[in-house]
Amino acid sequence: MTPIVQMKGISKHFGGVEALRDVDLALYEGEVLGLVGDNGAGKSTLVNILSGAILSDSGEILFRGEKVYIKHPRDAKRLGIETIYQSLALIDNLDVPANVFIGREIKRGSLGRIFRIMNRGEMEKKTRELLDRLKIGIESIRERVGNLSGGQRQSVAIGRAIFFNAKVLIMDEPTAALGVEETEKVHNLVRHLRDRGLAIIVISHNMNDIFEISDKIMVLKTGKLVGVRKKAETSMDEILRMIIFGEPSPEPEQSQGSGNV
Amino acid sequence: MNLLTGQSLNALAVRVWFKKSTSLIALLILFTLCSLASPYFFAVTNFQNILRQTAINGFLALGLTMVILVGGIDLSLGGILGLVAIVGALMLKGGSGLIPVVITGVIIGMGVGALNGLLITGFGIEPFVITLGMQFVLRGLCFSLTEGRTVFVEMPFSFDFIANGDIGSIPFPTILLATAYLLSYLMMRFTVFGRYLYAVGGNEEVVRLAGINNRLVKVAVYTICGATAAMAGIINLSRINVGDPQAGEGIILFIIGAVIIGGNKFIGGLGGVGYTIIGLLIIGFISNIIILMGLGYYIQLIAEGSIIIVAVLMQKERKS
Repeated sequence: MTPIVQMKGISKHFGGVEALRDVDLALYEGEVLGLVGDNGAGKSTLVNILSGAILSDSGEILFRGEKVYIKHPRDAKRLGIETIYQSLALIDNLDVPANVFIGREIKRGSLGRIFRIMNRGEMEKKTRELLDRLKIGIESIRERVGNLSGGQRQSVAIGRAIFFNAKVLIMDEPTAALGVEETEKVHNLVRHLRDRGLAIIVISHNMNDIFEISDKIMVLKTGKLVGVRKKAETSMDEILRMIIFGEPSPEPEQSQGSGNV
Repeated sequence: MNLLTGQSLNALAVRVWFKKSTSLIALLILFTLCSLASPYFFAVTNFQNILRQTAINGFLALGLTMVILVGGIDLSLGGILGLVAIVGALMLKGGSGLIPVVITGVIIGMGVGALNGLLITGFGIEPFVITLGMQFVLRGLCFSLTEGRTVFVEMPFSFDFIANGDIGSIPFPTILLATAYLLSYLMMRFTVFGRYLYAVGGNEEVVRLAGINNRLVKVAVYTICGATAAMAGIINLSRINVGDPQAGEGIILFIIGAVIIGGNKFIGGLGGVGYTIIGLLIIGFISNIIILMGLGYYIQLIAEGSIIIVAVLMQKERKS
C-alpha cells in the first residue's frame, strides 16, 4: 500500500540554524502518527512544510505516490491536508455553523447568487449532522464559540477541518489546554476519525497522549530523524531515550525502525 | 456533568440577555426620567424634533458602526460631512438640481472612504492615524473651497425637503434613516458580506487563512462609511440651508459615543446597528432634556462625556 503522504529528504534552514536535515516521513490512511521530540526538534517546522505554511529548502513531498508542490496553505487544502493549530483558529465572536462554514458559506438559490444571501438554516442543519456524526456534544450551536469549553472548541476546529473531505489531519498539541475528561473526548474523536480512514499526525509533548492515540511514533531531535516505532513494539522508556539521547535503542536498527520510506 | 453544563448554559443565557439589553434598559429608564423631568418632553412635536436632529448623527453612526465592527475607526467623518455640504452648496449656488448634488456628494464620500480603506489596508497603518490625517485634509479643503466663508444658497424646495420635510407626521430624514438602518441590518444579518464583516472584527488572521479577501472587506466597509457620512452632509446642508465650512467639526466624538453607549464593542466583532439606534436615542434624549430644562450646552457636554465613560467601563467589566 502506498502511503497517502510521503516526505523525502526534507531540509530547512532558518538563517544559520538548521531546523531540519534530511528528514523522511510516511503516513498511511487510517493511521495516527505521533510526532515527538524536545523543543526545537523540528516537529512544527516539518508539519508546517506539509501544510504549506513554510517552504522547505530541499526534499520532496508525494501525495498518493505522486509528486506534489505545496507552496501555500491553499495547495495543501486542495489535496485534503488540513491543519489544526494550537490556537485553533476559531472566530470567537461567531457561532458554531459560522465557524464551520467560514469562507465556504452555503448561499440561497438564484437571489443568493446576485446578493450572496446565506442559507443559514442549511448551514445549521449540516453542522448538526456533522456534530452528530462525530458524536460531538454541543447543546447550543448558536452559541459563540468563545463561550464554549476547551474541548468543545477543539471539536469545532476538528469538525471544520474535516467537513470538506479532509484526507490528512495535522493536529498541533490538541489536548494541551484540556482537562482529563475533555482530553478523553478528543482522544475518542481522533480514534473515530482514524477508523473512518483519515490519516492523522499529532504533535504532542504529552507522552500519555501519544501512547493513548498513536499507532506509530516518530522521534525528531535537533532537526534529525531519530527513528519511527510502532506503538505495539516500543515502550515509553525507549521513546524517552530516543527523545533525550537522540539514539535508537540497540535492538531495532534504524533502517528497520523507519518502516516509513 | 450534563446537568452542570445545562445549568451553566442557562446562567450564560441570562447573562447574555442582560448584556444585550443593558443599553435598552438604560434607554427606557432615561425615557421615564425625561418624561418626569419636563412637561414638554412627552409630546409629538418634541419627538419629531428629536428624530429630525438624530438623522445627521444617525447616518454618521451607521457607517461608523460597521467600521468599529471590523475593528477600525474613522475620525474623518466630520470632514466628509463638511466637504459634501460645501461642494453641495457650491453646486446648488451654480444652479445644479437635487439629484446631481446628491450623487456627487455620495461619490465624494465613497471616494474618501475607499481612500481611507486602501491606505489602512495597503500600508497596514493604524486607522486612527490615517483617518485623523484625512480629517485635517478634508477640513482644509472645506476652507480652501470657500475661503473660510459660509456659502449662502437659495435652496430649491426639493432639496429643502430632505431634512425639513414631513411625510404624514414623520420627518422625512427619519424615513431615510430608518430605511438605511433596515437595509444595513438585513445586509449584516443575511448576506455573506455581513458575516465577513463580523468575522474580520473577530479574528482577521483566521478570515485571511480561510481564503477570504479580508482587505477587500475592510475597504468596502470604509467606503460604505464614507457614503453614509456623505448622506449626513447632504442632510446637514438641507437642514441649515447654508454651506458651513465648519460643519461637522467635533461631531465625531458624539458619534463614537453613541455607537459605544448603545453596546457595540469598541474592539470590534460584537454589536450591530440595533445597538447604535439605542445609543443614538440615549444621546438624543439627553441633549433634548437638557435644552428643555434650560441647563445649557456645558452641562450637556458633561452629561454625555460621563455617559461615554460609564458605558466603556461597563464593557470592560463585562469582558472579564
